[in-house]
Amino acid sequence: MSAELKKLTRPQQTAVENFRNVTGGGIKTAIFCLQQAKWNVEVAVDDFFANPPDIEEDDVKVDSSKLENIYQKYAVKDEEGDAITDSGLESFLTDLGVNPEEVDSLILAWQFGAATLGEFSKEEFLNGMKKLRCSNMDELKKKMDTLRAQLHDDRAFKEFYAFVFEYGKGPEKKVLDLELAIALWQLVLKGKYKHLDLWVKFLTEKHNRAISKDTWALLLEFIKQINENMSNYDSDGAWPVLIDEFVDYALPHVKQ
Amino acid sequence: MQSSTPQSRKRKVDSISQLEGAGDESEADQKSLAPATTAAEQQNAPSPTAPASKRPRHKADASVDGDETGYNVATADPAAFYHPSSSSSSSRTMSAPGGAPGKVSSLRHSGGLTKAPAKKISVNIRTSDGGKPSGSFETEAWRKIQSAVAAVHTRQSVGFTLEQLYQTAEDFLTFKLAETLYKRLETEIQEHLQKEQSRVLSERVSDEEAFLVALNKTWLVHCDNMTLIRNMLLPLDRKYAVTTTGVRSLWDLGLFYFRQKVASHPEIQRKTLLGLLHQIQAERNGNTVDRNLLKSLIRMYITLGLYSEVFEKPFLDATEIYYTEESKQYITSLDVAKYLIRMEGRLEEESNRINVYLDSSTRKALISTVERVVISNHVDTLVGAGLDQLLDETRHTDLSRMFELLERVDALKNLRGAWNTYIKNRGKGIIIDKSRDKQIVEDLLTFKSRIDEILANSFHKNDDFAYALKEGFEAFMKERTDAMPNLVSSYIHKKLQSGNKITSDMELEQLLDRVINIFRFLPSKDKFETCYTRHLSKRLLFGKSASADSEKLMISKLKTECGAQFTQKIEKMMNDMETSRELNSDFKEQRGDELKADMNVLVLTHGSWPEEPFKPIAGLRLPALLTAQQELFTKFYVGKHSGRKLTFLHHRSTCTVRAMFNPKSRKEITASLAQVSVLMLFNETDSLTFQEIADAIGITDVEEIKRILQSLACLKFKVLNKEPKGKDVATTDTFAWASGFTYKLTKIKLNQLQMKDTAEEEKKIEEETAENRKFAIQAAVVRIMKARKELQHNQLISEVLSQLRFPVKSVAIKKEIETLIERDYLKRKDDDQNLYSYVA
Repeated sequence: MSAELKKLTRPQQTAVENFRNVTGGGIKTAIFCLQQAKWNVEVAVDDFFANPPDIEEDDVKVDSSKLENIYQKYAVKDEEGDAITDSGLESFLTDLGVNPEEVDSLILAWQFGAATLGEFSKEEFLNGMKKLRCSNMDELKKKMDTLRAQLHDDRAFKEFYAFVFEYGKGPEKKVLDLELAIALWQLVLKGKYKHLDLWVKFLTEKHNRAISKDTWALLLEFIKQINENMSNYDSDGAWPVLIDEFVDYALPHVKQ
Repeated sequence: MQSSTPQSRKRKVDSISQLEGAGDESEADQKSLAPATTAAEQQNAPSPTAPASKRPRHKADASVDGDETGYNVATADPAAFYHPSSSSSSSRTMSAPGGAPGKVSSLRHSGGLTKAPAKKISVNIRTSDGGKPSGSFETEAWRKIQSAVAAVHTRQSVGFTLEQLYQTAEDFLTFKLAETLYKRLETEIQEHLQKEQSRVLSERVSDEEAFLVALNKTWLVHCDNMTLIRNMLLPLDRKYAVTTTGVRSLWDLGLFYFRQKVASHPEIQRKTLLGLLHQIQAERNGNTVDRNLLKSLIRMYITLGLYSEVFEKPFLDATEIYYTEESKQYITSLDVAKYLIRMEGRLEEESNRINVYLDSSTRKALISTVERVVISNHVDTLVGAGLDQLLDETRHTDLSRMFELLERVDALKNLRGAWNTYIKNRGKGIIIDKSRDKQIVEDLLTFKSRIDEILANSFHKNDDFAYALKEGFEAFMKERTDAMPNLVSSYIHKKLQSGNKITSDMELEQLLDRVINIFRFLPSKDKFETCYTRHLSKRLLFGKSASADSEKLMISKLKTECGAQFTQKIEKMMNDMETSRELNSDFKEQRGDELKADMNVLVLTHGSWPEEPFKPIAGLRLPALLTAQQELFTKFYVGKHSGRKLTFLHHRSTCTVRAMFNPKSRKEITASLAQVSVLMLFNETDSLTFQEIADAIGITDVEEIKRILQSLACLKFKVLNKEPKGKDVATTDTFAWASGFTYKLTKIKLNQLQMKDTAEEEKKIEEETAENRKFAIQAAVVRIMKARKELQHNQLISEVLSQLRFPVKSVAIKKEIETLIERDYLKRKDDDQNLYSYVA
């Protein structure tokens, strides 16, 4: 147990533990955030995601040269640039024990702050590893569980969800291609939304346009706020037209 | 008057003359009939507080009636002498009946009252200290008065002069025996009226009316008697009764006992009331009744203070029953118009009844009872089915009667609702039938004029009704939101085209005003604008506009109605026409010498004119002459306005050529540029194959060439002969100049065969409208958000709706909001997706 932790009361120690389980932050960060939030874990977690504090953790030392080596193992260098991509990425994920068809790859991209789909730049990789305080593949592998658990927090998930849209559409475009949007939804909302299949079916049948950021974002709100049989849905509300149309489409199915 | 008063009576006159002053001339006429002895009364006649308006009417009564009573009494209206606001406290103001003298005098004549010469009046000696009278005075003097009163009651000759009795009464006062005299007199009156009661009760009368007559007679006689008695004992009344608190004036004393003994006796009262009510009912049923009798008895009730207590309520109840019955019967057996006429008449009758014989205090209750029973209770029926017919037939008199009657019972809102429904139904009926599209606007104009007329003539231009009219029109126009703008615009198009049958500017202006009257209710004015520019463009480009003035007149009306922004585009089109005219005249002035044919170019600003619904003819090669002139104009124009680019729209142009088919047949042909281009080919040769023509005119679309050739060889004017003959053109056909062509007129106009473009044009209009609406919605959203910075979704939607000139569903607004979010004009608040904020 670290010196900082010893100074705390037992309930405070538990709070720090809980905080770290959710956020994956270091001890110092945890104590800082909890102190700010007067030891309310929920508030502290919210604050953390809203405005992550930049605190130098001293209990983990990441060896940059080791990371460099790992990076070089997977990266491809050519005229287009220097990045982990395609087969390199595939083997990186396989080595981590992550299925590229699972949400984990997206979580990783989120943690690394990746800008382009299917690609980690050198900078993204190195900074990401440092941020996660992992100096080798095993540590990262172990970290994955924490990262997955982190998404049980609504706030964290919302941030992740928003990231996926930006990540999927890329920096140049304003909207997300429908096909890709469907694929991403199927990853991130898997097990989170009862009518996900219906939503996908609706989009495939009735909608052939790209998805706007607004629609993407509000679908998450829709899932959170509207009950399973959609009885509390107000069509005069501010929901995007696509969601209005989905409700019209879904109601007969949902009622059965 | 005073001059005829005997000298010896001067003292009394003096004492009374203080009350003088309110007399008038008409009264003087009446007085001249009165004997000198009553002059004192005359002075007293105008009661100081009696309303002046009341007296002349009494006199009219006095001079009209009379004989029926049998006493030659000059008035049959004793109640008229009585001030209706009578009460014991105010009795002194009413105890001097205005018409009394005339009556008194005639009674005296018929009753044989001795007329004493003025000089014979004996003057009793009184001590100035009012000493005790001898015991015999009281008995003797009373006997005298008693016999006089008895004589009055029995209608016998009194036997004393008025002056003697007056003096005797005066003596009683002098000896301070007024109270004794008053008490004795009271007993006398009471006893007499007790007898009268028995007489009335025992009187054998054949029917109700006879009873009423008898009672009335009793009443009138009582009034006469009391007047006379009072005159005889004037000092007692004036110096004792009127001035002593708690003592009734002689007149009121009479009324008191008449009420107690006669009028309020249960049996008499019952019979009187029943009699009155039956008489009134008989009159309502159309029988003639003695209105004077009714009037007199009602006056009696009023005078006795029994009117509201005894009569009014039963009367109103009877009225309600009577009219409930009547209205029930007639509301089903008569049509609405006739029912209303009848009930209007009934209300008139009842009002008249009040004027003639009821008390005016009953007016409000009576009229409102009748109104309630005959109108209010049947409002639904009245504004039901029958109303539509009245409106259909524009029956102003009946409608305005209904309006006024319903207004009286505060039921205009029912009529207004029915009126609104009528407009909606009839309006919908006019516009809903698609097969009558050509007639619809004309029918609507007629309908609107008729409705306006009803509003003005029958409904008094009532604001609420005007609003219901507006609401009705707006509502039924929505039945065909999409079609109406085009129909109205087409109608205007026809009226502004040359060849319309409008003869004067006045007529046109009136017509346009009426159209604007309809236009006002169009649900989507923006679509009208699109249609209008298209129609205007057709008129202007094909030279079909009747006159620029008419066009400007219409535009000014639209501008007044919708604001300058609405007509901006339209006015630009008009400006282009103006500029083109100047441009052409400049062109002809400068380069006219180089022109081989007259040419008129319309230069249209790009964007101000509606987009072409069909594409320009690709590849058309003009005859050399026209190409040369086109280049000439282009040079001239670009020289004037460097940097501008001209694009010629040949499919919009027309051309007139002179053609000689044979020496006998010379024609002037007006045709499209493409048609003329083909015709010009035949200047070189007489016969050409399809392929040769196609090569020469350069048009790439084979179907288009077929259409052009079809228009020249297969329609009404066959200026080319096709080989083989037939209605359709094949690419293997050969065409020859129709040298045998004849037609009775010199000028002919070739029709163009165009692709059926109405459906396409309709679609184009739709698209254009939809596109414009999107911009309008976005503009409104941005405008609102810029001002408000932050706004809830629902508020934003409703504010946008209020700003738009066309009907729109909220989902359409929502789409544009999403577009604006996407384009970063707006964003949602992080913690509330229903709240938008403006992104500066």
